[in-house]
Amino acid sequence: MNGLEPADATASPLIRKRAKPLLGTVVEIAVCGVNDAIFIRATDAAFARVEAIHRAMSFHESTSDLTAIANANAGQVFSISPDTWKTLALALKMEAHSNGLFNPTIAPELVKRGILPSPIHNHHHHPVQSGGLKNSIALEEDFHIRIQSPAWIDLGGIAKGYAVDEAVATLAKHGALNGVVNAGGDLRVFGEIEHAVSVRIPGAPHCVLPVASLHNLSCATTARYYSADHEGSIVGARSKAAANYDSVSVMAPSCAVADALTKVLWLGGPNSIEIREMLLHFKANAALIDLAGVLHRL
Amino acid sequence: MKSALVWLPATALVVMAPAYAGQYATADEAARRAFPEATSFKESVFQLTANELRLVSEATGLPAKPILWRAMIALNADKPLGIMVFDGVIGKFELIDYAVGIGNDGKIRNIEILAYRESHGYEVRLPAWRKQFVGKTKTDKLRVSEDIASISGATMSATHITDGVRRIVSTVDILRASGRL
Repeated sequence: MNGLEPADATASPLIRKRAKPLLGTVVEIAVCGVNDAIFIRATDAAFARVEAIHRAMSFHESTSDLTAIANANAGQVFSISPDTWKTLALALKMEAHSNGLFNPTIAPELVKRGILPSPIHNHHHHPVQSGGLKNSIALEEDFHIRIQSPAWIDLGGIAKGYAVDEAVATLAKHGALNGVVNAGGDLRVFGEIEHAVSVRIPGAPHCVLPVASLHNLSCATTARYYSADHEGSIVGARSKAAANYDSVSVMAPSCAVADALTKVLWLGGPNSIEIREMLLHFKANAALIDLAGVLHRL
Repeated sequence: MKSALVWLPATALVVMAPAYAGQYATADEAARRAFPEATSFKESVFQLTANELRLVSEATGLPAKPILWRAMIALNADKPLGIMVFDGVIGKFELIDYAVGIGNDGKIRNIEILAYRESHGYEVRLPAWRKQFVGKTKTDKLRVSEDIASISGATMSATHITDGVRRIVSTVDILRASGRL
């Protein structure tokens, strides 16, 4: 039985919650129907998993894969963590589906704006604004990466969602099958439960709008809060249609996909056929709050 | 695995976020998770001298916190294993209580959020539409909800916690160096 304890008659239907500061935010895990021993073991493992993913994909840590990629020369091939590899694979897919709206190679612009630190170890490497991820890297077998042209990659638009997905998988492996993982607003509801999700109102961030009840679904949000220093962390010109919205939430089975799709909708707006098709393809729904505070559902 | 999404009624239902709060762990639970081998914990408080405050500030680059710190010393029999220090910080939208467990080797054993609650009373720009909105909700639509437990887009910032942890590690360091701990 995978080393799991047998079904426990003392298992409590109570919701147990635990939270830790990780991924630059607070990661909250809520689990129901397990006893305290399983809860602690499962959450310890899930938090450790999130921490490992953060280390591999942090733009800030000098030992991360992204720092290694930023310091590599064209033509170099080397191995990266399976987590970074899988996240890059999904990023490539999202970039292709969105015709480049989803672009994780905009890190040089974020460094210029002072949002990210410079990742370079030596001065021969200069920030490169590349033509997207597919022109910068190629993924090869056995979790190897080939650098086609040096790139500063920021996976901030997708890695948090990936970490949430992996935390859910880790919890399940340890017998915690029902609950919610919420990493600073990117969340996933899993197991036999239904869970309602609200979205913070950008113009009045101490108020929230109830949006939907989720079952085995994730929800991620990208928004601009007037009272917060949120502006400017997503690079790229927003379409006219997109600029009518202050908050974009996407509900999808995978949190990584939901996370990435919020960036696509944030830049492209909800009206184009391509974006509607993309939502369909990824089995996603969206909820947008416009400048007048009205909620729109897709 | 079946997924399902049910849109909630499209009323102008607004929930005041201060209704949101999370209780995650008690001080005892956090201490036991950091020091599972401890047989007892001794409650303790400490306060830094002016000189110690200056040292912490110099070591961390952060303003020192001239407060009465609450802590728990983890013991195995009579042997000290480390210390659990409790602190509170203000995040982007909320007040966060957390605890840091530091072993005798100076290494962090565990960081645990104990509770958070939405902060209120801070100034937000109130656009015209929002005033209308508030008016509307005064009838039956503003409610404090217990069934809705998660906020998407909350973006709790951990910067203040990260700074707080650094300050605590340095504080414990300096107190140990001076033999006060």
